[in-house]
Amino acid sequence: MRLRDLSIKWKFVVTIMIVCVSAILASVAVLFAFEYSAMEALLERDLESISRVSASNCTAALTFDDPQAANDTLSALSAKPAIEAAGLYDKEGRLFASYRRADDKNTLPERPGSDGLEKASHLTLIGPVMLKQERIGTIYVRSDFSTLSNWIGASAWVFAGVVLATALAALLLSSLLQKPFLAPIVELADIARQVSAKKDYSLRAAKHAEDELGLLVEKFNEMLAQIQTRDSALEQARDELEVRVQERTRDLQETNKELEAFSYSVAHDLRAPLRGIDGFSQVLLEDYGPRLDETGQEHLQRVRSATQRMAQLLDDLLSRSKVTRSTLRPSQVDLHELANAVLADLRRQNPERQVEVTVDAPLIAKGDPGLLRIVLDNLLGNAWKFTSKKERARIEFGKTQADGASVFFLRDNGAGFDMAYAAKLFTVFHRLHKASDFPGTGVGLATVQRIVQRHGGRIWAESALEQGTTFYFTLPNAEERP
Amino acid sequence: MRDKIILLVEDNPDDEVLSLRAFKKNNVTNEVIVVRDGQEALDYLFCAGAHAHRDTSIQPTVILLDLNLPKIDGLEVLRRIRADNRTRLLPVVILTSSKEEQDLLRGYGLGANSYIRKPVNFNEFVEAVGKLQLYWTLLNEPPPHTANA
Repeated sequence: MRLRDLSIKWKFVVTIMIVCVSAILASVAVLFAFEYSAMEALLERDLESISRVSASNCTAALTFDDPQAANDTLSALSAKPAIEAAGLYDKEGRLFASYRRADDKNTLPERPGSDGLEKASHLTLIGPVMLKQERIGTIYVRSDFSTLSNWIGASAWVFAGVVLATALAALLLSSLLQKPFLAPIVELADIARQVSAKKDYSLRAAKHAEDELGLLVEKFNEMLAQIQTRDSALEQARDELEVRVQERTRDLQETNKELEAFSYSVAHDLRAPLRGIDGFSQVLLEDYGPRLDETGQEHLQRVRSATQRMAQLLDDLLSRSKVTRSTLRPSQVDLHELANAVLADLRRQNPERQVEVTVDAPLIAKGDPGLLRIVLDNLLGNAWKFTSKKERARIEFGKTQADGASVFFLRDNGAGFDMAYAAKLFTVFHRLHKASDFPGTGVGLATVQRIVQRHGGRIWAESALEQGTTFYFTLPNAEERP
Repeated sequence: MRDKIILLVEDNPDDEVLSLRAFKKNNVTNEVIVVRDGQEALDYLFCAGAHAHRDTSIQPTVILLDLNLPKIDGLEVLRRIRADNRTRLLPVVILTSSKEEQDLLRGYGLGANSYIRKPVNFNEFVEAVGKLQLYWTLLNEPPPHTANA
């Protein structure tokens, strides 16, 4: 885990500890260096005074040429464990007396060197032995650095202890001291987490002080309050919208009911007078036919056929309104099978017709089987109808690709139409052919378009007079539309 | 055996005239009783009101029932026919202009024996009436008379 990913509390603690430990290490280093040089100076002064005392104690022995006494005097140096060896030399530089610590491995030099302090692996002091302003010999004292290293050993422990204690104190104190700094931030983060998780914008963070953190908390709370206000406004708007939608739905349902009642009366009530007109026209023809001339009889026939047309119109209108009102129940449909069923019906109606039919298999689509049947009834019925005057009638039904989507097409080589009127092709009651040429009510294609649109699809046609017509339609996402 | 009666429940005078003419054209010899609203139909069947003095034991062989009727509509008439022990087995043919899915469902649901949509074309209508008469008064075996009592 990287430092930046630590919790803010631990960042604080670690930072404080690093600062404290660095500071104490620096202090300890300075102190140590200072103490070390002081200790060294002390060691040198000590050695000097030892050598001076030893020299003055040995003057008598040297004067009276008594090496034994000098040896005795020097052996007193054993009281100082750091002293390794000492030597007394006479005026001529010959070794007169000596002392060696039991574990000393170095020998004393044959001749003393020049006076002075020499600091190497040992500390060596060479000085004069004076009697009344006259040099009577030389003293040699050699010491090791054990005093110094002992001190280093002891003080290293002390310093390490100090550093450790400081670090511990820093850990303890920073853990305690982080609270007033970090508690508001931790609390703020916690509130933010709760707000986000529960979507409860009524939560507020507590403000502890008037510092920057206090300001942060204050602004955070203000932000929450704004969100809360907006949220409740939104909720209210949604509720209002819901009420309005319910109102509209009620209105719509009422309108729908009215529409249904209207359709019912179209089905029932409008047909009754038609029956009367047709029936009594027939009665007239039957009972009074002989009294009418040919024109009169023809007029009555016209009344009757007009009645039939109107009855057909009413039926078509009704089935169209049924198409609009019925619920879409989509499933997987093979248009190939559906088309064959429709074509079989057409062949039964006109067994004398020779039509060359090609239907691709399979033609899988998603849609309401009942409504798709109406689509094919109309489109194939049209193709059948408009090819009736062709010697070699051809109808082709299949699937192709257009604009990256699959498109069904239905092609015939029938009468066709002028593309100038293509825009009116799907308009209800609008016909592009005379009823005397091809019968029809002008409702079929309008119904087809309505069904395709309810399936989320599109329908269009390409045609030319006497060149046949091709209808294209798509059925993309029937399941997504109610 | 008594003459088989056809009860025609029809409120539209045009339809009444045309229906009777259709019966005549088909040489229907059965007695055709015409009642002009739902209430009258029930009065006839249950021998009430204007038909209180009728012989209860005589019931029509088939009832041709329009749906859209004044006072009591055809479906309600059908419901009451089926609810009464005296009439519940009578063959009822709904003869109407409507082919609304709802009417079909409710008609059959209430126990209609048949449902005919009146064709607008009079010739087809005559043909339909002829077939109806042939089927219901000659081909079809009516329910045993005891059940009507």
